[in-house]
Parts: sequence; C-alpha cells; structure tokens
Amino acid sequence: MLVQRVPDPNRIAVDRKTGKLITADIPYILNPVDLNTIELALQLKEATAAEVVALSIDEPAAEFEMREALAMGCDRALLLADEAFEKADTLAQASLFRTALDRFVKPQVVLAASRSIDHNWSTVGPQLAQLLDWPLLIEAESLELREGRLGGVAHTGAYRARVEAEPPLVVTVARDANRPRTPSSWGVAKAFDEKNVEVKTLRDLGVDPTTRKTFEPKTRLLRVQQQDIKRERRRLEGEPAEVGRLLARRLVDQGWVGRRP
Amino acid sequence: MAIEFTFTPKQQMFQRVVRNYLRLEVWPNVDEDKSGHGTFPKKTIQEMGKLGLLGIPFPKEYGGAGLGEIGYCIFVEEIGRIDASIATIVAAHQSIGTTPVWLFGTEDQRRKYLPGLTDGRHLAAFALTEPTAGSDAASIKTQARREGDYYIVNGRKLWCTNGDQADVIVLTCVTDPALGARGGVTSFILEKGTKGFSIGTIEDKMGIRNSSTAELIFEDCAIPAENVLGRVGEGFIVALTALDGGRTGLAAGSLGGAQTLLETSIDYVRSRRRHGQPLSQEQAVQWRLADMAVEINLTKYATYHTAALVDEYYHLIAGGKHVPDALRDKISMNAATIKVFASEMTARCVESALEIQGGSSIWDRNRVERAWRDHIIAEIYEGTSEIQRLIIARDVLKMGGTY
Repeated sequence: MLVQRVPDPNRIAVDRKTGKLITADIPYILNPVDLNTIELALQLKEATAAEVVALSIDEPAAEFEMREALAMGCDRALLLADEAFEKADTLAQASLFRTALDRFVKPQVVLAASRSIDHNWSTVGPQLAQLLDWPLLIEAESLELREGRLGGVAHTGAYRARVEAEPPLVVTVARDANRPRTPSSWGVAKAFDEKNVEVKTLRDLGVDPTTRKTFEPKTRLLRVQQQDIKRERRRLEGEPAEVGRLLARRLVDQGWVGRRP
Repeated sequence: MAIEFTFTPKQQMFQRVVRNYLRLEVWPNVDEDKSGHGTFPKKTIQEMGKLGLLGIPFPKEYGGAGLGEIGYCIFVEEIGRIDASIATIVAAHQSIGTTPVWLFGTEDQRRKYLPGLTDGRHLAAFALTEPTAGSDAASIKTQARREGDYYIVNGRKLWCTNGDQADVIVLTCVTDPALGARGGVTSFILEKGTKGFSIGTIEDKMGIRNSSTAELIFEDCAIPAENVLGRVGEGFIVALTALDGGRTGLAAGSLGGAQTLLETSIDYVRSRRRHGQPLSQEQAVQWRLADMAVEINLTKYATYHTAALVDEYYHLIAGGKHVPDALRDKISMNAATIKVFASEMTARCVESALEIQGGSSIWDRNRVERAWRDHIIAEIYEGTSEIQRLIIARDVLKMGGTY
C-alpha cells in the first residue's frame, strides 16, 4: 500500500509571487484518501489474514505520519528516504516503489490512493501498474477476494462498475470510499512501543548510486495558483419547498454538493 | 539551552488521533438533554471504551494502553474542549474509580477488575461524599461492620458521579468509629447488584447535565471481606492518593474548556463588525483575549508538569515501592495548585467570553451559556477551591515558602 503525507490543507497557502506552496512550519497529515486506502487494506486483511505494509517515499521526518498508519493497524511501515529521491517525480517514484516492493515486500496486491490532495496527481498507481505489467483497477470503493480473484466496485463519474482480476494487481482507491477507522489508544501505543518504521536508503534498494540521474524529474512543477472563490449571492423566491428544490438543484449543478446523476 | 516541555511523538500522535476522533465523531452528538436529570451518553461511552479511551493510563498487562497520566490528561483536555459532561464521566471512571484498584488492589483484585474497566466493558465510580460529610470528608458515617467473611454496610452516599451506571464502585466506609479518619476508615470494591445496595435520587443539575450524579443507599449490604481495597483502616490514604490524580485530570478538563472559550471568542470578534471594523481591532477586546491566552498557556505547562509527577508517583505506589512523605506532600500540593488555578481560570475565561460575545453568548445552545453552567462544578468537585487552598497553605506553612 502506497501512502504519502501532505501539508494540512487547512493551514496551507500559496506564495503568489513565486507560485510555490508555503510549506514551512505547516503540520503534515496523511493524505486523506490514503486513510480510505488503509481502511480498505485493513478490511481485506481482516477477511484474508493478509499482511498490510505501508510504503512511502519522503524525508525521514515522515516517520511520524507512517506511525499513524501503524496505529490504524498496518503490520509494517517502510519509508524510502534518501537525498537522491528529493527531486523524484511520480514516474521516478513509481520506479522506486517497484524496486522496493520487489526487494522488501513481494506483494500480491498494491493499493494506492486515487489521488493526493496536495497536487491532485493521480499517476503513481497507474505508472506502477505499467512498470510491473500488472492489471490495474481504478477508483475502487470496495474489494473482496472470491475464489482467488479480487473483485471490486469502481466508481467512475456517473456509474459504478463491478470489476475483477486475478492477483497480482494494482488498485487505486476512490476518495470517500469508506469511513476510515479511528486508531485506538492501544493501537497508538503499539505503533510506538512494538512496531518500527523501517527506513531504507538508495543503498538498501540496491540501486547503483551512479544511476542517480534516473531520478531526474521528467515532469516539472512550474507554478501553483490559488483559486479565488468568489461568494455569490442570489435571491430565490417562491414556496419554501420550491425554493429548497431550486437551491439543491443549483448547488448540485455547480458542483458544490453531491454528484450529477 | 532552554528547558523545553514537549510531548513525546507517541503523546503527540495520541493527541492528534483523539482530537480528530472527538471533533469528527463526538462533537456533532454532544447536545445537552435539558429535561429531567439529562441523558447519560451510553453509546458514546461504549464507543470510547472500544477505542481504549477508558483505560489510557493503566499498564498494558492489565489491559490499559500504558500511556500514563500525561496520556490521560491529553484525553481529558481534548474532551474538556467539547463536552464537560463526558469529561466528568470518563474522568471519574479512570482517575478515582479505576486508579485505586490499580494502585492498592491485590494482584487477584487487579486481575479480576482491571481488564473489564480498561477495555470499557465496565464503568467505575468513587463514593466518598455523604449528606453530612463533604469538605469534612473525615466525618463520614456510612459504616462497615465485620461479620465473618463479610462487612455489613449501612448508610448513604451522595453525588456519586456514574453511581447508577457503574459496575464497580470504590466505596469508603467507617470500620472503626473510635479511630476516625486515622485508622478507622476503609475502602471497599463494591460490585453492582450486591444485595442491600440500591440507587436513590439521580440529581437534576444546572451543569454537566448528561453526566449522572446518584445517591447510593446501603441497607445491610454484605460486601465480601476479600473486597477490602488496600489495608483495613487506611481508606483515607486510598481516597486521597486517587484524588491527587483526579484533580490533575480535572485541571486538564478545565484547560480544554478555557481553550474553547478563547477560540469561540476569537471567531466571534473576527466576524462581528461594529463601527465599520471587526471587534478584534478594539483594544478593550484584545486585552481580554490576551489575558485568556496568558492564563491558558501557563496552566498548560503547570498541568502537564503535575501530570508527569503524578505518573512517577503512581508507578512507585503500584510497584510497591517506598513513597517518602515529602513526595506525597509535593504531589498533593501540586495537584491542589493546578486544580484550584485551572478551575478558577476557566471561570475568568467564561466571564471574558460573556463580555466579548455579549448578548449572543447567553442564547440557548450557545457554547458560552453552557460553559457558564458547566464550569461551576469544577470549583467544587473532588475538593472545593477552599479545600485546595487549605492543602496549599498547610504545605507552605510547613515549608516556610514554596520550593
């Protein structure tokens, strides 16, 4: 299971001059969609007794957020931390994940969030599937193992699709797929007293340090622009029930709540 | 090099997890029941039990999370931010209800009672106060008379938090009226359903309405002699030791309440405009906010400092180690200090919040209106402000100052 920490969205801002996110002194949280991913993985674990491993590429400080995954019930946490990874874009990350998975985990199923809320990139899962040459199930809302095949319900825009494939496979998990569990106090204690975050460097991955260039980004983030949300006032008139319907219609049409049928 | 007080990563994680849980899952359901004696939030308490939030400080070998008094205070502070009734229930359960069994119980008693209390299957309470014994706890009259393998208990206990909900109650009785407080008082572990024990009035209170405050009635109630908690005649040591941790937790709860008052006041003065500018631009308002922040920040340090002391102290006692009197005094002095300061500090914050938010603060269902009714008990239960001052005065007179 691939996870990553993101700056707390309630505290984040964009520097309008440089077009970069201001991340100094901002607390990190686990990517909210990762919480759905972890929940789905743990449900799978409860049904099949599988081992759940959380894997991330980040600075050593991300160990704290990895402990949250352990507190929720993940069995192991692996953190790939090396200066060489700093510039890695999603393609380079997918390649690192492939190496680490092969070396330390050998999984049957890889789960990844369908997107991260910081840049809304949703490419790592699909890129990894491509590199591994495994089938890919996207936007899964639920998963179940039946007669050796992993079936899931994928939610893509206006419709739900039931899909199944034979492991090994890569699954990306839909936002709000489920209600992530709250770690118990026992879980928190265990995450620090009995479990460890295994930190792995370039050397541990067995990657030849001279191939650092592999991690040179092929995509580059140029500029982030904050979206200005303007408040709009409009007066709706009529019978209360009619006004209610109109208001709901408008909110849905403008994409504020719900989904368009 | 600065002296830095910070939570360990484990404590920080616990705080984050608890804060998220309370804000997302509990906060939307903390409406107060204003009819009769309120409604005990059974479902929430059961859910907290399943999340290990009713056994936070206790060692893992008895089913607890092993997060100590600091972990316990982190939880009470966070729950104090959103609901004083639930804070009262979980505090009474863990600090004065369950802690005495851990500290003074025999190994058999610990094995029998602690696992159920720490995993939330059972709820605990603590019964000391009587109709004619409040601050003068030494004048309790409920008597336990030895008869063969049993003690026969007769009398009444008042204002017992969780009393009617509890499965296990730590009960303080007179076993030798001639000896009084020194040697004549004994603690017992009372189980729900024991014959001769019944519930009397459940109080209809102004504040902490969803917590249950019950009268306990004992008519020839036979408690097995093996349920004596600690040594016969040393019931006051059991009670006072539990109250040291209890008071520390209550200070944490007050601290949480005060922070919510500050936060709601900030929200209010940022959005309310008067004479063309937000209220937050007015110096008179800023001073009030600053005073609240000063007291809250200082209380935070003192509370967790005391929690750390209590944690060491409790582990010494539970481990059967010798506890010097000087340490005992120091703990009681610190616990009394933060209990009286934090509860009265919250009272000042309530007053400031009322001043700042004006008429809108006394609307029904406003946080300030409820805090005004909820906070008063903090200056009364587990030893009134006056009792805390007596403890502190006794100590400074003995020491000739503070140390």
